[in-house]
Amino acid sequence: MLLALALRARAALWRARAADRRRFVPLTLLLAFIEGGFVASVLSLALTLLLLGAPITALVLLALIAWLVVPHWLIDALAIPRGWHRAAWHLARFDPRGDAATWPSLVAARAAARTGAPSAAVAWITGRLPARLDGAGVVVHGLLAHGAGDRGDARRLLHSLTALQAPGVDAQVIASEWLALDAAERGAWRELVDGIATWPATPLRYLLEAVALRRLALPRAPGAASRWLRWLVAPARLATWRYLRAAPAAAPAATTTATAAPVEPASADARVAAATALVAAAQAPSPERAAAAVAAWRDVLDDPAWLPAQLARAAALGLDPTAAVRTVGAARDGVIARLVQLTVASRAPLPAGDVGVAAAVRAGARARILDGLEVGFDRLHARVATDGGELAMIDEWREFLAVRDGYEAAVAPGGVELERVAFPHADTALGEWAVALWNRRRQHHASHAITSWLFARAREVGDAAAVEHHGRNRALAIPEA
Amino acid sequence: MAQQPLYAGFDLGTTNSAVAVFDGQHTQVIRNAAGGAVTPSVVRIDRAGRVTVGQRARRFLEDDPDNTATEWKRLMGTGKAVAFPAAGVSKRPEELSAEILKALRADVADQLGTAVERAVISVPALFELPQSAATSEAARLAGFARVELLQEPIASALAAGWRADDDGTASWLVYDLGGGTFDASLLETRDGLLRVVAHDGDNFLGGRDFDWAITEHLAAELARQTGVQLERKDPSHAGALRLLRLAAEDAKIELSRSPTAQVTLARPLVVGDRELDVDLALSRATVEALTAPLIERSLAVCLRLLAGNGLGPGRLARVVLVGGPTLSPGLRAQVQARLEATAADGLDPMTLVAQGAALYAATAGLDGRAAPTAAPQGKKVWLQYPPVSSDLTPHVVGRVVGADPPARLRLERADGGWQSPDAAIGPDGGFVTMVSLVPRAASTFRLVATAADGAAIAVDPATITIVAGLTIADPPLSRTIGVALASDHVQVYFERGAPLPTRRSFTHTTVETIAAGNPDSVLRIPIVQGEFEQAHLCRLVGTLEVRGVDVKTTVPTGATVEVTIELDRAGCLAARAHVPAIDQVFEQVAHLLVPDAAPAALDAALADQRRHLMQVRTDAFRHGLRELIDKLGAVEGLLASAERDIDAAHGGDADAGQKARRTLIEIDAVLAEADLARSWPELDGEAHEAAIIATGAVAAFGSDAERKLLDEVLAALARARRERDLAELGRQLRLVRRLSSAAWNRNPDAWTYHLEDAASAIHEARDLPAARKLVDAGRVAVAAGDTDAVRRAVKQLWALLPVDAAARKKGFDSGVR
Amino acid sequence: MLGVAVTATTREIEREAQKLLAMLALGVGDAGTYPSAAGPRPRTAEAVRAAAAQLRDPRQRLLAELTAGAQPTAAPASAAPTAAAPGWADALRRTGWGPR
Repeated sequence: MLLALALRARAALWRARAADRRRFVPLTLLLAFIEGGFVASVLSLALTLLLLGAPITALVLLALIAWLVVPHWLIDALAIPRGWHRAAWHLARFDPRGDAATWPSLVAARAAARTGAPSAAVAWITGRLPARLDGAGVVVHGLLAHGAGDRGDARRLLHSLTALQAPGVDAQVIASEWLALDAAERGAWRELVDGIATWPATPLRYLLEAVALRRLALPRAPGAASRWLRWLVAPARLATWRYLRAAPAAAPAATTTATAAPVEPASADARVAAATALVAAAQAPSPERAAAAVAAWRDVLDDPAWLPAQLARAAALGLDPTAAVRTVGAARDGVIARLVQLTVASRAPLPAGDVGVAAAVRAGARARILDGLEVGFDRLHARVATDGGELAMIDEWREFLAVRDGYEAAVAPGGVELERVAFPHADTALGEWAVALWNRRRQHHASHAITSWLFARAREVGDAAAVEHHGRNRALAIPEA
Repeated sequence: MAQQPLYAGFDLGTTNSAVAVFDGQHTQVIRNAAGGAVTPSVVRIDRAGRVTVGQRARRFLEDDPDNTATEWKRLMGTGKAVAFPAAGVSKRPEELSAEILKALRADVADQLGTAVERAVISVPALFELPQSAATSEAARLAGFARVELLQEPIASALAAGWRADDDGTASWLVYDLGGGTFDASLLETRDGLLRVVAHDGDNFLGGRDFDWAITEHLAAELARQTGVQLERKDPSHAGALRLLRLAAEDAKIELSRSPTAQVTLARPLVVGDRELDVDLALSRATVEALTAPLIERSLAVCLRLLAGNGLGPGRLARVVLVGGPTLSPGLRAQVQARLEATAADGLDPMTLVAQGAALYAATAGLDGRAAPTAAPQGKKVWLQYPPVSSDLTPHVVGRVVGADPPARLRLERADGGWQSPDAAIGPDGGFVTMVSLVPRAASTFRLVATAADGAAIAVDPATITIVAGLTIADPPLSRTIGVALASDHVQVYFERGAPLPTRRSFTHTTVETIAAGNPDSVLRIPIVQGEFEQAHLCRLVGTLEVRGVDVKTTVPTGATVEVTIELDRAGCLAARAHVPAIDQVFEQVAHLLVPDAAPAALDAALADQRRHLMQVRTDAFRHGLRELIDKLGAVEGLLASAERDIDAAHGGDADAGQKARRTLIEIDAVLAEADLARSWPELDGEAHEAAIIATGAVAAFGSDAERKLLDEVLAALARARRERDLAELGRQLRLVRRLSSAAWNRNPDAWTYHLEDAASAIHEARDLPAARKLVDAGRVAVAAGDTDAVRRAVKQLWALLPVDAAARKKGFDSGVR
Repeated sequence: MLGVAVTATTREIEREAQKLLAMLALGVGDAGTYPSAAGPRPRTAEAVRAAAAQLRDPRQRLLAELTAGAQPTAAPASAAPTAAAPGWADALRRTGWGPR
């Protein structure tokens, strides 16, 4: 009875710590104290029994108590490293760190990922997930994707928790650690620091954040003592030890991407410079290079002397006047088509200007971006409207993430003016999708996330009707499972 | 020394086929066992399953038409089998072509003692991939180890221009009127190099149509005499018509020699229970009058081709006439007069294509003989040189095989008139040198290799021969090939005229999710052929599929797909899609056949287009679009010709069905263009109206931000109207309407209006009782003044009403953009 | 690609293409690569054919001339951004996440 109460209290503490990062330090100390107490009492009891000459009873008691009192150690030290997803699942129901409803699947997914997420294990774990996709479900699929070797998919899924209104603390804890380690691996320290406000603290995350602050040499970076303390409370000390030792005092700023050197006009000849800029932009696409190419070609093609010179050359190649005009026009169009392609592919801001090359590139790129978006939204709309067009829920979620990211990346170069034109299509297709998910499939979490995103975009473009509509849907409470 | 090379060219025609060989010096047309230069493309299979081809089979066209097949060339690539009821077998068109090729190959073997293994086969210029692939398949079935395909006009031009004297730049027109197709090709010679500038043609205009025109005239005459009208759409008349047609064919040939001919049949025609005796007179003038419109149709194609390339009549250096029907004096005169160019003399229009194909086999180095097995006499040298060259100083590149290569090598012309400087042999055994050719003749060169100490070393081969003459660099692609996009546009991979073989890659973006493990989830990448900008007008030649059951993990929409398409000289297509996100490659191409043209489906399509035409025309008159009205006149004619062909298709003529299908596609293209032209005034009017409504609504119920926004959008709308940008106008119009409705919906009465509007369309609702209930609830709410409840009812009602924008199945359901 | 001047005649282009194709077919000499603005690039028979065909057609040649002659630029900094901020190699695996 007393033990049950104590266990309950401990579990409450674990969750409180995960939910509120401000109380991380005091609650960690308290938890360490309680865990120590548990272990000390269990060990002394077992020792007493052993001394009393009842080794069998001692062992049985020890096993029972281990099952109840320290399942989290068994999970971390045995089930996950060995990839025993079933054992992990059953042990996790007694793990004080998480909710019995979601934690077992998450832990089991971690274990299965260890062995490469074999399909039998995936089926076993996903079969235990509720039909309604929630934060834990998304994280389970993310971990399994990582297990199967698709790190990008895993990153996208785990990060997508931020789109959910109530992802659940357990899911956030797991995602938080995974994303932190992934960012650390890529050296994307800035991501870690930016996520401090978003993700719950866990001992490992707490350590990595300290490292990131230090690597970026930010003023709020903690001192050496704090860092070592964080290391001490974090798991996997052996693995992190080497990294911590190797941490340099101050690393160069992390976000210096390879700055594209502006293309130097290699020749006084404007045409050669423009050809060079085109090749440079195609070789290493970047917004700067694409813009430079557009500017260089503007100098060539908008020059009033260009057309007569080209017509003369066409005549020299044996073309008659009609064909020459057409051919020279086609050559200009060919260059503009390549500039449009480069501008769209590198997501360069659309060039400003009402005449000549800039206007043509702008119009071409604009039409291409909008066409691409409209086709995608139409297709989505058609699928949602078709009976039997439904995908597995996690695939629907993946599609939402892809559509959302694709849309945001596509409209960015054109600013709010372009987005305003693109938004109605997104609104129609995704709006109906969200409604279908909510009403037909009872996928409230995903539906709510889509509505919230549409609401945010509608506000961005100032679409009052959509703001009102999605605002109202967004205010609907997600029903309890 | 090796024997003379043997280059073989085959002309696989609709009605007649031929073979010619080229030995490096002269071309020779191979005559068949019956002594004819051409072999009729006719195959008969008798009760015992014995196969007869050529002239012997042709005789049975009259007596045993059911078991004798001809003119299957137009069915190549359709997968439609030809039945031979007596033997109880059916053969695919490529199998029938293979029989002809086998016979021609046997003729070569009989006369020259060599069974050709490699050859060039000519195909019509406008053949599409399935048809080309079927031709290659026929060659494989006939026992060829390797073939290349060459378009007929290029072959004709090569044969006509072979060793032509004009050195400068000149334009030629190849006028090729075959049994079933008409091709016009504009070619240019420049420095002895032949280049196809442009093609045009009518895949369904040929000598056959001439025969039908005469046959129909005869049938009409017969009807006048006997009162029995023979109709193509009536299957029971097919036999009588066939006999009449054969008679017409004979009469036509007779008329090219004498001014009048008598059409008589040995036996009376049996139509139903009546027997009709046929004895009709036909004059050359009548035939010329009957065929003049058809010739005019072919000349219109020629003039269009010339105009499209900035050439008027009179600018042509020569016209090359190809095909049996061009033997007619009337036709020759009409063509020369209208194009203001003289036809090249002394050429046999019936075998020109085969000769050209043989010449091309030399250019391509496609020696027909099996590889020699004799042991090399001396050091083996691999050589690369053009067997035929328009350049008088081409390069010869070689590589000596094995250890101890000679130190130097030179080439001496056999006539003693020239020798190359000593070429140093590199450490890899390679050397590059140039040779000098005798103009318009074959030059033979001896390879003279010497060791470092000056001792002569024997090499194999000891001599090579290069012929100076007209060449073509690479066979060009006849029709543009690309990938159909989800937007119904085409991403062009290879432009018409691209040199073969070729390969190209583009990166696409998926527009739908490929769900792992889901058998219903398939991403389609349709490969199309044709010059239309809209994919659905082009012909689908294959579909690359990425299946849900094959992907490792789900590929969400927006993923990149790198598509590579390869095309070889035998018309075979290979495609590959690489999906980087999952690092998997998909190569499963569903090769499609030319779609079947079922008469019922054609009827439906025809009715559809009639309706469409009516709509377009009404609108065109209403908006006074004169230019459009003119264009629609042409559609009328096309519809009439499609109808005639569909009638024939009902009578069992599959070929006419194919022709009708093509015509309908052409009509579709014109109407699509017309749709664009007429939708402008409509949309423009709507935009104008919407702008007025929006201004009022936003002024009355809009916020300040909305007023400002509306100003911006109206400015963009005005610009789109000024620039006549249809897509942009549509987009801005949508914005105006949204702003308008947002403001309008703030009007308390708006939802009442929407409710009544929806109530008026309630009969279309998916669930009528539920919809009725909603309308009632809405009306109650209106009475109670509960705006929120009215709005809820309306929205639920809307969900029950059909969505007007049905999913478009155009663009072949492409999954990429 | 063909190594000919912008002003080359049809005949010069054809001759060069014929030589390159022959060299490529036999693997003779250094025909397998060509210098470009972005450093040496592999040369394939298909590319040579396509280039020759493009220059043969006066219309396409005009476009080719327009975009020809690009000068080499500084090699793009292709170093991955991670190089600037060394990460924790293999951190996920070492701390017990993902496949072993």
